[in-house]
Amino acid sequence: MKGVTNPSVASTTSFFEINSFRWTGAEYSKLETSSTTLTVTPTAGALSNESLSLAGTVVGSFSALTVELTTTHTIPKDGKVAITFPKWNPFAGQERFYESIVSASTSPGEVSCDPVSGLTATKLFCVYTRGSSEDTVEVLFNDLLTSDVPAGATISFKIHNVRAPPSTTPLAGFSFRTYATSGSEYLIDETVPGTVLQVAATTPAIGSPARVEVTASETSINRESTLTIRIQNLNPLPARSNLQLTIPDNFDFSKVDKASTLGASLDPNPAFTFDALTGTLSITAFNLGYLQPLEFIYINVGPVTNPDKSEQSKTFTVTLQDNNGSEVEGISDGIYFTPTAGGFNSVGLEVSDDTVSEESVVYTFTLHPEDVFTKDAILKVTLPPQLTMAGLSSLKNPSS
Amino acid sequence: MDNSEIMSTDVTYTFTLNFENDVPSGGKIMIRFPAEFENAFAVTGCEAIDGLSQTGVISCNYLSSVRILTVDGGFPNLLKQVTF
Repeated sequence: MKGVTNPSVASTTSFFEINSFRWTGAEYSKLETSSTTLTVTPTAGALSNESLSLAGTVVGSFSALTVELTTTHTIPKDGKVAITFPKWNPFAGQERFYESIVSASTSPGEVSCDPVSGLTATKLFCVYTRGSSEDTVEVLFNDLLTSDVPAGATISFKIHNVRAPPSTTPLAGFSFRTYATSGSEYLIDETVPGTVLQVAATTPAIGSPARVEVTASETSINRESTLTIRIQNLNPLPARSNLQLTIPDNFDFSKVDKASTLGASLDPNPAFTFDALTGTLSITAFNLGYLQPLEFIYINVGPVTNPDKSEQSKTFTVTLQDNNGSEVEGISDGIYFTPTAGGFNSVGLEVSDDTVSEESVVYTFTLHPEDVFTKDAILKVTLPPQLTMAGLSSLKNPSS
Repeated sequence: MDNSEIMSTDVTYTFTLNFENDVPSGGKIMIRFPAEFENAFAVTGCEAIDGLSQTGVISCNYLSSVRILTVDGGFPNLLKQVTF
């Protein structure tokens, strides 16, 4: 039969009722009745032009998310839009580690949201619900609209306190649905299956130099040592993430041929390359499993020769990347190492005259330093207070 | 249904019925559509596909207010299973 108009909501209908009759000559007499199992389930319409745009694009930062979509069918003014959010860190792989993209103190709990365009409302009411593997934000019109959202309308609204992805790899897994909510709840339109909706952070986070520490197996200037760099990640890292570390050129790193890691879930002997021109250590797949924020990552690299001066080195730099090679966070300043001063293998002293209070005494020092003194070096000798200068080249002995 | 999307118009619904009792000449069947079809329910025509004594367009009429379609063309049926 032709010309039927389908129901207005995408839910299974109640039953069709079918009866057959024979004509007795005076009236119709029922022959049989259909079983009461015949239903149809219309499908939802397809949303289109869906987009998600974050105001803040720094990895892990919170900002407003602007959502836009075009309806196929009318949304009643008491209807709603439901947005399914993936978990912020779906690569964690375990529910206990999952974090939500939307910041909300309770679940279900209200989150701040505003209409932007296409909605005849000055405010909206949004509710966040945490799920086991994904979360939902419902934009409830609640008769806050003065009219229905018509078919084919493009609407947009903002949801506040939404976190940018934990790396510069786009985060996919969003989907939208529109509903009528009169009496029961009925699906109207939805994201076409297979549509990839994602948000992206384009700027890596800036890590804190306070969460990086550099130590050396030998701390003195000019000593050959193995460096240990302790890093605490601000953002979570998926298994098999990558790390880059640059050693400042105060060090002689021309002999570096070893790198290893130490820490929970880390590969103790990861694959690495070292660029002896730039002092850049690149370690791939350094962690065997998921790393929560603020884990301790220890990197050993060597051998290097410590700087030749007991002053603060130039900065090390650290970059963390996810397992796609997309940057997560980096620190480009504020990571220093200050070697300690060298020493003397032996020190000798001869005195030309050891009589008390004798003046014009020549003290002869014989020094065997561990380190080479450059031509501009300054040798500083601190005399005990009992000795006094008797001239530019002689001393006066103590009086007792 | 050749278009399953909500609110699609001019959709063709095809029913296949298995009778235990043949519908004799002069008989009819009545199909009441579910309430979800609301008052937009309308049928512009019926067509026999298989198992009826007529082929092509068959007589049917509907009452949109109660969503009831009456098919009174094509009987007696020739087969126990009819499709229209």
